[in-house]
Amino acid sequence: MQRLLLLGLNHTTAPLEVRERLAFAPSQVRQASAELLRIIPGCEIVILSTCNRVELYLSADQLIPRQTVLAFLGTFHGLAENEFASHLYEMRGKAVVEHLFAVASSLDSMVLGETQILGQVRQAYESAREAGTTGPMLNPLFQRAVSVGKEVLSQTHLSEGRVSVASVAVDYAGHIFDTFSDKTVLCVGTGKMSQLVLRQFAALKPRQLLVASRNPDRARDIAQQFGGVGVSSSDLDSLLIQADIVVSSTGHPRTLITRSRFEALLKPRRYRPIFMIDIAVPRDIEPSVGELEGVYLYNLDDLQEVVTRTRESRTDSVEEARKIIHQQVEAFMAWNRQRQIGPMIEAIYQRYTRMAKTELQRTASRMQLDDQQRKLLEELVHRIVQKILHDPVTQLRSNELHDNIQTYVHAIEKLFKLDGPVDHDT
Amino acid sequence: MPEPTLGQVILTITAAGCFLVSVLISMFKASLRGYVLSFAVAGTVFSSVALVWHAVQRRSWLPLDDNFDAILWIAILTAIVSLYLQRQKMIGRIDWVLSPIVALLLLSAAFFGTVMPHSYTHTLWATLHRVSVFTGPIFLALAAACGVMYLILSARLRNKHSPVDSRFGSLERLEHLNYTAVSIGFALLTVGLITGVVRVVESSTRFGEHWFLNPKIVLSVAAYVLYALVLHSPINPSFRGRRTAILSIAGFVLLLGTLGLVQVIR
Repeated sequence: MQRLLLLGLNHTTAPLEVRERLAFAPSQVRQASAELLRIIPGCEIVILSTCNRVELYLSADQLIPRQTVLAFLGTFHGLAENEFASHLYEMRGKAVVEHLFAVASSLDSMVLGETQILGQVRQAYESAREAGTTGPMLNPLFQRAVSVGKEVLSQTHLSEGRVSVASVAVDYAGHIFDTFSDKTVLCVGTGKMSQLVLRQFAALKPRQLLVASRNPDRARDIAQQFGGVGVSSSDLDSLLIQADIVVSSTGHPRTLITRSRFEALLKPRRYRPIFMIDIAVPRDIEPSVGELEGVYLYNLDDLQEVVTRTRESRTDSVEEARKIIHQQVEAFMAWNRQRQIGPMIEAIYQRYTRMAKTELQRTASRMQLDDQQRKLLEELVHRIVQKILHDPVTQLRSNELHDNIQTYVHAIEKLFKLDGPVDHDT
Repeated sequence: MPEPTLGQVILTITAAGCFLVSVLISMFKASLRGYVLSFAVAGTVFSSVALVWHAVQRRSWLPLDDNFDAILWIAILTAIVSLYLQRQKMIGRIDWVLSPIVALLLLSAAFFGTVMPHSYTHTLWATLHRVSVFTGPIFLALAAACGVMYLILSARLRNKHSPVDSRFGSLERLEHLNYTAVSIGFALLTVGLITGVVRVVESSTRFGEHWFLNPKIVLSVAAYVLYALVLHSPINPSFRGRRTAILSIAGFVLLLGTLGLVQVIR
């Protein structure tokens, strides 16, 4: 029977200084696996190393002592054990499966619902598979983990929505505009927050990215960072006529874009929809501008509220996600148990069927039996074997023995002499 | 020409039920995407079987032979358009509007499409008329669906609500699709109206002296005018956006009224 062990740390158990010292660079993973394989021969290994976690998933026929892995980690990274040992968590058996499924589903991530971790789990598994360090235990475990992660992220609201103001703004823009290659993004002001939002819009590769400021040099500097053009904000009206997306953050003491000012621009704009993000405090854009046809105006509070709602919604989905994980863990454990005890049950049946047949032949040779009688006796011994073994086999397959299955398996192997030659005469 | 059998009617109602179940799952349990598609496909298959059964029964494979057949055709083709658009990730929720329209068409075929067998193949005008007036609504249904989705999305964005979900598409895409669908539907409607007038003139006794006051014709012309306004939006951009969406929906409602009247006025 194979035993699972997980030894690792993450952002909740270890500070960044410890995590970065224990992390495995992609180029180190193969070497580390080979090293570990030398220490624990026949062991299956997957190393999951991301910026928020370092985890070693191991599986072997024998019990893997924690100390062995600790010593390996210390030697490999050149650290004393007391520098990191207290930050490590250790899990065995079913707990490993539960943990991995939760990790792949992002329940254990710093940002709940982030999808990057699923790719990282898949990548860690692929690397291990290519290095030949996975086998009959970790192959199905990681394959199932990836599919559970996908299921959780698609069946729940865990990954829906955005969790930063800038990404929420881009998300909304995506619901207004289909393509950005023909759009003009205008940033009025050069504040830090507007730069964050601008960075997100620049990634969409708009046709034109304009940064407008009263200080053209400053505008040019900022625009250059994002591949845009710096312009003076003195002719704001003509810039507003060109723009499809406006990010405003000037720090101006009075309202910059009033309703009457923008209403006059609707016709020259040919009533094109416009997405306006006002992240200035006090506000640059009069709220009633948002009532005009084709104007979608958001301020900082609007965007922040979406972020808060998304976070709440994701938290609400955790229970749902845990339910899926629980079901999948049970299904995996049942499948794995079946996989592991299946050959043993088969061996028990074969052994006792053979014994019964031997005894039957011995008895039959002393009796004058015709074919019909012989067939009846064969059926009788077959039924007896089936009935004797029915209860123990059912128990073995049930969930009740789940936690101590390895103890039972070893006991059965000893009691039924499955690890030795079959004695046909007993 | 034989009437649809009870079996065909039941099959059509079952298909309508499938589309309704599909849209309910899509709206309230979006995660069960497989079921949404399965029910929609099942509805399409059931209605196709009803169509084939009907054709076998009347021993004619010519489409649009009677109103039952014609409405089934519209419903099936609209369902196929809906299924195709659902595969386009950015507008996957089009079924929220198109599936109820398909269900409505199927139910009207089941309940009203059984009584008015037509024989339209006598003249070229009549053939053209039926093909265009029954194909046009497929595109105009799509335009109406885009219009409804545009209004919902626009209202949600204006009220700072989350924009339903990512499969709802963008306002720009919905507007573009609406305009394209109206352009095609309008062209077919134009052919339908012209050939319809020719038919009326050919059989002057059909609608009487005041044929232009016939509700079917009045509604068709009203819908035509609304769609003309929609097509007008590039020239007068103040018509774009929500106004275009509302006009597309209103035009389709009038068109549905016309289709309804077709069942009772020959």
